[in-house]
Amino acid sequence: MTKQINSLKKVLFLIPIVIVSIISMIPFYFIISMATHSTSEIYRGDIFVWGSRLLENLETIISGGFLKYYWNSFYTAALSGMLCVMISAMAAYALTVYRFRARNFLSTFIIASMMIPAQISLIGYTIEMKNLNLINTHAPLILTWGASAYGVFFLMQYLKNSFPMELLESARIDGSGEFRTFISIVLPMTKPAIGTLFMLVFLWSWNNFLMPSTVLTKSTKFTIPLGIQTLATAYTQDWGARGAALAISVLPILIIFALGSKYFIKGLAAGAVKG
Amino acid sequence: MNSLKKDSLRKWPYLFLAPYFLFYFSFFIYPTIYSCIISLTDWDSLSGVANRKFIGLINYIKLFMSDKLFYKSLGNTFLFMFIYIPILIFGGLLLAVLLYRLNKTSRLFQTINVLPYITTPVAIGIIFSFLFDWSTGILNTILTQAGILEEGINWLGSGATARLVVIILIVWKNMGYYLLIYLAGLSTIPEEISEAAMVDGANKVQVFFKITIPYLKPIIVFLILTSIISGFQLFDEPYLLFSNINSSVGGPERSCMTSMIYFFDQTFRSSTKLGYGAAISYGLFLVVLVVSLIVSRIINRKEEES
Repeated sequence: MTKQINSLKKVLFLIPIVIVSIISMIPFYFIISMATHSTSEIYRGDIFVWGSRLLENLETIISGGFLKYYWNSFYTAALSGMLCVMISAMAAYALTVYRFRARNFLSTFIIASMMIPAQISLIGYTIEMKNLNLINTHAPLILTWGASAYGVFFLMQYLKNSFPMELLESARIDGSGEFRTFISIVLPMTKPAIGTLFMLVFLWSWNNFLMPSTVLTKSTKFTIPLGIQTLATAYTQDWGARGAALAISVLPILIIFALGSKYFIKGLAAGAVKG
Repeated sequence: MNSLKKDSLRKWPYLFLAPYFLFYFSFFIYPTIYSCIISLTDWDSLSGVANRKFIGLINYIKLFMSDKLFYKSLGNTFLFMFIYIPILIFGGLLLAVLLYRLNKTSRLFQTINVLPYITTPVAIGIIFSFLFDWSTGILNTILTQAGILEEGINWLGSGATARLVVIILIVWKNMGYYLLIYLAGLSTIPEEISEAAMVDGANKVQVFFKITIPYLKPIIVFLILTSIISGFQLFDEPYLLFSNINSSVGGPERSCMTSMIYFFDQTFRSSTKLGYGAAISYGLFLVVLVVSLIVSRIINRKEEES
């Protein structure tokens, strides 16, 4: 009897979760559906079942130069991630492992600076980039990740909680130099946290719209978000092509993140639970 | 740790920190100060640096004294936050508690529900403009084919329904994030405590209010404060929701123009007044600061009372 009640309860608990999950997925379903239909089919409302026009729609998008946006976004996000991870790891290492006078002040300073919204520097940054002749290059999108307070904070948490300090001691006794110790011992030991941070920065850079739209004006330099915006206005009559553009910009990265969700979800939650 | 204090090591922490601060000063502090200086000038980016005039606080006086659109955009932003933050705070908690009771490590549901949160915001704006489109929109198609409506509603065509769409969009996008933050919080509550309370005769409702909620308090505070800060950043989705040629920036009657849309539009699109734009960004920062301080003050006071 109690067992029956428990399974009934389980089903009752499951219903709202399943409903919310379905709602989470519905827009993606329709995007794929749009990508597989012709515009006239979409106008007729035949979008509940997937169609057969996917390849034609993809062709339209690719001939419109979409692969270029893909590449631009990809390498910009990858370099942003690497830059952020490298610099944050060095800073976090300095702030957790060494005891030095300015340590507490600098840690507090970095953590407090997370509260300042980036947009107050945006106009100055845009003009700075113009003066450095970096408009219409991807450098402004990457350089901004050099100093990420969140990155330092995140790696500090990891180093504090799960890095074996004794390892460093023995490395020093063996006469390994400080920088070599960092590269050959600390970085490999910090891999899970570095991987998570890299994924997060990659994602943030990939999704960013505000900054690229202030520093990029040439369409050959566009990243995915600018490309989506352009295509949405360029193919106003071709709804299938717009659907295809959205599908190929959104879905591959979602699949990658779903596969890596174990590390990624931990990373998202880390700031909240420990902070 | 003795060896770490050796003189030969003294320079190392500074060397390791140097790249961070180099980037921080070059690409954050310097442009931030630069923006501040620009905010004190009358400067249209089309007219070149030569025409930059120092005008003191006039931009700020104009912004806070007579800029109706600035206040309208702030009002829109507040309205959105007032509605969606409670929905997310309570809805996320409810879902998390249900999911936690069922299966403590249900990563499948977490992953499914967090996908909207990591989807490119620009794409979300456009996807929702498709879903709620008047003629081809999926929602209208469903409603008319099911016979609920005779004719589709022009969701994005009037202020009230457009705002509703923005709120639905934000809730859809963020629910999974709240869910997973709450789940992470729930997993830190030691099980013995609630078990001990149950042994002492507490029922599940009492356990929830006397143990679970107090334990989750820091997380709820974190979620509220970060929602307010990110609420003021709301830009990509509402901006792209109305990116069709026919619609105006910020939607019908500017009902969905957030502060960030106003800032961006004034600085880089409709006009190119960099001086005034910089003043908007600083003015907005001031508002965010004051609101966050007030909210954290209220939360702390409640804490002292209880």
